[in-house]
Amino acid sequence: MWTERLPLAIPIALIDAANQLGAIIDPDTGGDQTFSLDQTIADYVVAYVPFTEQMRAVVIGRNAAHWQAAINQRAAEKGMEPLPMETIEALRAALLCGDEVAALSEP
Amino acid sequence: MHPIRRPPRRGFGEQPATLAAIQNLFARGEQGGYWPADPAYAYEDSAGTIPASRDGVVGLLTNAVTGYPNAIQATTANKPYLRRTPATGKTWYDSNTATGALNVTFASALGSSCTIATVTPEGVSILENKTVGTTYNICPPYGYNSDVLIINRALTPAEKALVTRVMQRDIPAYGSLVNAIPQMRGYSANNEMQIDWSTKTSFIDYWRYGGNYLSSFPLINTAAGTDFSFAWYGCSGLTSFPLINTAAGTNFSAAWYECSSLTSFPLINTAAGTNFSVAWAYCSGLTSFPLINTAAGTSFYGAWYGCSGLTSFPLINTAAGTDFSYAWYNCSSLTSFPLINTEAGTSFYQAWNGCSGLTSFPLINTAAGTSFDAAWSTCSNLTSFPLINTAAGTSFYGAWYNCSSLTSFPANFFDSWTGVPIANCFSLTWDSCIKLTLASVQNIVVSLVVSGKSAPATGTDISLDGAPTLVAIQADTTVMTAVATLKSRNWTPKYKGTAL
Repeated sequence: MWTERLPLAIPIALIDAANQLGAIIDPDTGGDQTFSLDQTIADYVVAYVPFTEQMRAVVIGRNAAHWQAAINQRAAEKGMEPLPMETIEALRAALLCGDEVAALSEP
Repeated sequence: MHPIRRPPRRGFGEQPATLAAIQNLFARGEQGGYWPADPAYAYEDSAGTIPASRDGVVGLLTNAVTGYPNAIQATTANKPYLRRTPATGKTWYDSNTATGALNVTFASALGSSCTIATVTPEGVSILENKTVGTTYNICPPYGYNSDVLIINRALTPAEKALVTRVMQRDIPAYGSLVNAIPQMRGYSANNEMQIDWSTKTSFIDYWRYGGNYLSSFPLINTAAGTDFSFAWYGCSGLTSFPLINTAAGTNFSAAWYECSSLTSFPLINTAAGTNFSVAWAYCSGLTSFPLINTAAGTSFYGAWYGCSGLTSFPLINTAAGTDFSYAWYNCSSLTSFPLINTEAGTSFYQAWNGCSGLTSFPLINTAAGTSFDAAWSTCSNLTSFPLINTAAGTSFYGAWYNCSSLTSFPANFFDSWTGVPIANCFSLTWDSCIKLTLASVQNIVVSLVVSGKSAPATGTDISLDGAPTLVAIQADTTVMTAVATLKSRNWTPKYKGTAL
């Protein structure tokens, strides 16, 4: 079951790392174009991402251990290099989700 | 265009006749394609392995006419959702993000003379003289994305009318404050038993559209009815059908198309029927079919297309039938086929394609047949084939393609061939017939030599396959002597893809 799009925002400076993460957790072969400089709010790149319910729960939970485990598992399943722990942690700490993204547009 | 077509995953969204008409727009090698708003063509992943589901994402949409290129999106964040409109159940692709796209990548730019047809909430839009490069997003952000057709030329007025007629079925109807669908089924209100039907002659489209609300149908008086075309089209909720009076009916085209829950069909009177095109197509729940009177029938185009549950078929009278193209396409549960009268048949195009359960085939009369393209393609359980008369044939493209159990092909098959061979008439014809014996390969090439026919100007391949190795074929004097003669007549015999 797919959820409706979940707004995600990452600081522009982290776009490459965010797209590396996108390539790992995307169930399809793409994902490396999840974030685009064509779609920004303030200093953030924004993507509106459909998730499976399980992955959505992991993302919005922003639990460090769950993130590390889920991302490493997905990387192994896709035969990809896992992201360094510190990169995952930087992304997790900087990520805005849902209403937090909407708040970026508020004056 | 590749004539060997497999139906999409969950069945044709179009009636075969309609799709074939769209395919014909591309018959001269035009570039482009047609991507329908139909879940049958949509997949969740860009590799096309997981069927898309309602309110799920779409990563691949199949090109329904030219087979390639498909529309693809491999990044989930940019995929559209597959939606259905609430009132009329139209499928559409909801690209509700600024980066949304389903991209088609062509081998080369299509140029500046393209025609692009799309479905909008208010009708079919046909844009002319448009420039299309090597990529095109058929699912742009924030719009009602439905069917898209792209072709690299202008369309004639007749072709535009055709495209409009086909695509307008996906125009969404706005819902009203009160959902009238349960009360109004198709063009007919839910009042069958309150009105007098006895003088009605045309039932065209009557219970189509919204027909899935119909779970049963009453025994109304249809004695005056002559045209029943599309009457119960798409009534996928019907589980039974009454013995109505259809004695005056002449046109049954698409009458019970995709009544997929019917498990049996009554012995109605169809003695006056002439047009049975796609009449029972996709009635996939039928396991048997009654011995109805089809003596006057001339068109059996796709009549039982996709009736994949049929395990037997009766010896109906098809003596007047001329068009048998697609007639039993993908009737994959049939294990035998009766010796029906097909002596007037001119087109057998894909007639038994995908009848993978057939273990034998009768010696039917096909003497008047001209098109045998893919006629027995993927009849993968046939072990032998009878010496039918195909002397008037002009094309056998893929005729026995992927008959992977076929060991025996008769001698003298083409000895009396009088038809004028057209381009690619033997391309893929015996391709993937991996069990053909050496004797069968000999029978084919020797008989083609006996026919005395020279190759057409283009498309000269004769595609052979079989159990013997390529080396064994090349060492066989009978085969290679015949091959030499065929090559002198400009044919290009190939075995397992290698020119002999």
